Amino acid sequence: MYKNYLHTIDDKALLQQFYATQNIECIGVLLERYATLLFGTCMKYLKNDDWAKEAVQAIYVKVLQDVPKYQIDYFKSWLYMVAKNYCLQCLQQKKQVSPLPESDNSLNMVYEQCDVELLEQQDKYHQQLPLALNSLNSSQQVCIQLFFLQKMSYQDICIQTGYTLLQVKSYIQNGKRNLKIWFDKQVKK
Amino acid sequence: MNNVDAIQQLQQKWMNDATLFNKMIAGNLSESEWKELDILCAEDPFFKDTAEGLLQINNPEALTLHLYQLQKHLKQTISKQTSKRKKLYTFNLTWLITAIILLLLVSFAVCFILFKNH
Repeated sequence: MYKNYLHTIDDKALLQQFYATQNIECIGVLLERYATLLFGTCMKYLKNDDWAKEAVQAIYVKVLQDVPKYQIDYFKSWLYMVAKNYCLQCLQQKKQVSPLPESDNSLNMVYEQCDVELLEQQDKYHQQLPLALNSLNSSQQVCIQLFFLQKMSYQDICIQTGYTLLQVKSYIQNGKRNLKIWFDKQVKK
Repeated sequence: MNNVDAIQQLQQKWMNDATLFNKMIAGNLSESEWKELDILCAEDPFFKDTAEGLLQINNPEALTLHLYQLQKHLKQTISKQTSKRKKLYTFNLTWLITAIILLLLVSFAVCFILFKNH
């Protein structure tokens, strides 16, 4: 009953309830409410499903530790700042750890070999591209052609087609995914 | 209804209905839903980052799975912290009761000795 009640009240009331009772379930309900937004924001900065999931889990712990320490009035804005700062911190740490040595000859040879294979594969893909494009719906076809073949920017595509920026990004993303599925099917045949 | 209320209602709608973001990833939103999302993104950077981030997910079904796993993890974390607090509370209460009993015993003993001497 009490848990159901917590789900019905707004963020401000939940925070007040927490500061009055120290019941951690209140923060749990708040975090559950913002899980999708947290995951999406972490995906934007970290660009990897697993890293984003780990980041959200770490943010959960941080929030559970920090909320009792501070008086928070606007939970959503505060949570957004915490998430963004955490992701930027992660990116900075990854940058410090991951630079590849430039003068590693053996690695370069492997990359070159891969490049040759990749180029051969790309040639095949280019030949089949018109067929593959026909398998997409019209919005995806238009956006893919404008973005990859005519090298137009997202903004220019928005102006030309009348779609919103998110629509363009979505059509390109889904078009890419459908093209990949189509090419995978061809390879299996 | 003013503009702020309308946007808050839209935010509630998108936060409560996880299928809308699934539809966005799959590219199946209707024109009116795209417009709603556009308004939200223009008003709120949290929504803007979310929409841009979720568009990078390759498999539309993956979001449901990730959110399910995150919810499970959150429940575990909350129940761990709650049981820790309960243990600490019980521990403190036990010591408090023991200290009171000891104090009472000592005072009784002192009173008894003083009374006997007089």
